Amino acid sequence: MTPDLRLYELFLRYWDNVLSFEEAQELGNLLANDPLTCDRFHLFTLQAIAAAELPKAPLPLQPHSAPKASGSVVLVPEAVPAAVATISRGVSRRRMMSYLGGGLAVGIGGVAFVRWAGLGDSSRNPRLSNVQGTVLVHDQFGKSVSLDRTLPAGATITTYGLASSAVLVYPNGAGVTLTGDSAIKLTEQQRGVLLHRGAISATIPELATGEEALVLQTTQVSFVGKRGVMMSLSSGLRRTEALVHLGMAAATRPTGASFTVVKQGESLTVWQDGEHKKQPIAPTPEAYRWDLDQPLPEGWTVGRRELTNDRQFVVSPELWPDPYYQNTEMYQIRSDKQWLHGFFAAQPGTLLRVRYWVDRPGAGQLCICVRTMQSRSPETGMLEWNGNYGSTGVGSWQWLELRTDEMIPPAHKHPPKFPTPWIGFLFIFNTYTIDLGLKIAEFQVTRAGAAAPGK
Amino acid sequence: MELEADTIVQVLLRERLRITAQAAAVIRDVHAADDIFQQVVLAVLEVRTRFHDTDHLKAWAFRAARCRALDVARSRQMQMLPAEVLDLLESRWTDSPLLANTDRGEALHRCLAQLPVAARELLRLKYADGLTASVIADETHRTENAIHQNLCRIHRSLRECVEKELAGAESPSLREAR
Repeated sequence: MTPDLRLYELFLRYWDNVLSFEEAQELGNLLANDPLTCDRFHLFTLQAIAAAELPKAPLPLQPHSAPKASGSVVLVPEAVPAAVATISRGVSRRRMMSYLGGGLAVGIGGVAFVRWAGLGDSSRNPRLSNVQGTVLVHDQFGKSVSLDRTLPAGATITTYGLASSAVLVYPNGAGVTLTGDSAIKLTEQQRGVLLHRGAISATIPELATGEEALVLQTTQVSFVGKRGVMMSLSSGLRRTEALVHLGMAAATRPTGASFTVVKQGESLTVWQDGEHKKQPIAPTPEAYRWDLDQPLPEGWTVGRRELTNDRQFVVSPELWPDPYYQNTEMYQIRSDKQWLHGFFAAQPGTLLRVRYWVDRPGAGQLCICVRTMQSRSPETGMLEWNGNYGSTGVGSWQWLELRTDEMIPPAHKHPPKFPTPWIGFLFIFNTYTIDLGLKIAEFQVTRAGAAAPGK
Repeated sequence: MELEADTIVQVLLRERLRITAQAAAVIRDVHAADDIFQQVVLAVLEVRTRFHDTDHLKAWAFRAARCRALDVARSRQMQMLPAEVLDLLESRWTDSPLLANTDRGEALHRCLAQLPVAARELLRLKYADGLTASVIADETHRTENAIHQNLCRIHRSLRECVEKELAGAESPSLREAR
């Protein structure tokens, strides 16, 4: 082992608290006598902190129908495997704080409050209802909590898989819906909900006189609603987005200072550096074009944008160790999850066009995860194409054209069971375990009946 | 003249990463380190009349974070580095202009984004979920040594990437780690 790797071995063993006496001495001596080692230890620690901010790996997929061709597997989002679920401990991050009498609330590192509904003292905690898919609850010490009891303060509730969801029902009628792949924590020090990741929607009745407010935390901003409010909230790596569907909510900075009011029909985006933008909620467009001239957005975890020799940007799959398949690595491109706004609104007949390249033909798929028109509804479905990339040629650019009606095959187990429009909020290109040399150069969606853009 | 609460918060937020790193190096739990940072901010605000300049404030916050982290480490019966080594680290980490360089953090985020998904997921399990190499090894059906070696290589490649990012070049070692 090189001295360099030995240093990291010591750092890691120290981090795991498993240094032997001799190793502890060795590390102590290195740190005491070598400034470079001190600097590297500092960077190692920064790496750990930055890594702790990494978003959870994308949703594991589950096969649900027999292969249609050699190597072809139909995939649909499903519950996270038990192994992964059990090794992920309850997260307790970034506690909300308030400073002396509520004058100054300090949310460090982007902690924020949402104070929007009143709850009585005696029975303030919610219960879970309408649990779908895999939903896990842990108390503040990481112990599993039964789903059918009143949730304790400090509990973390996590939904695994896009088809999973749950509703927190409060005694005063307030409800907080967790969409798939989301995690929240009931705060310990005040009545509230901290959104760790994903998206939630809340329906809060008008606050009665004397009722204590429910506090909901997100990462960058807070909302205070004193009247009935219905809103959705999503928390990403470096930004929070909120849509107010009904009523209004005051947005509050981590310091506790109110900085804007979001009214019915408005959305607010707040970035980690405090910048914010408020605008009317725009309807999800019926057309979409993936702009590869722009870098992949934050939160994009699978797929790599590259510049080809002929000077065009493409996205290539990355190996992703799929826990459901015992960490079998598959070549996938997965978009970020655009739950609140969606990428596009699809109808039967909506045209999807993909310009792609493969070095060799092989089985693959294109999956579009869709939700209902209402972002506050957790219901989801899947549009999917299962076929062969390169069936019309390899080693040159090809077009794949699909109508959404063709993407609900008869054996499909997770079709959208709700009325159109279907709001596409996540898309996946997959070539399973074989690297076909797939490159995606264009992905366009055209509304039903409209002329397709020229090739 | 005493420092305003807003000024204190701004100063501490600017120093957040270094203070959190100081606590994390002791407690080896990023989330606990974050909690400690928040506790330190509250503690500072409660005694803010004591602080008349930002240097005093920062020094106090660094030391408070270290003491709280040591308390937690003791309560968890964790191995601890000798006090003189911690003194040295505190001194170097708080004084070094290199380590104050915010570009370093930005470069680190860019380098993390360049890592393959499997490497990022391993880091996330290790530091976000707080799993030991032994637990990760059990759950992924690999040996503990393999996990350790993998993590070592990832950390080294990240360090090389950050150095090269700051020098304006892309790291070949990240490609090696893929």
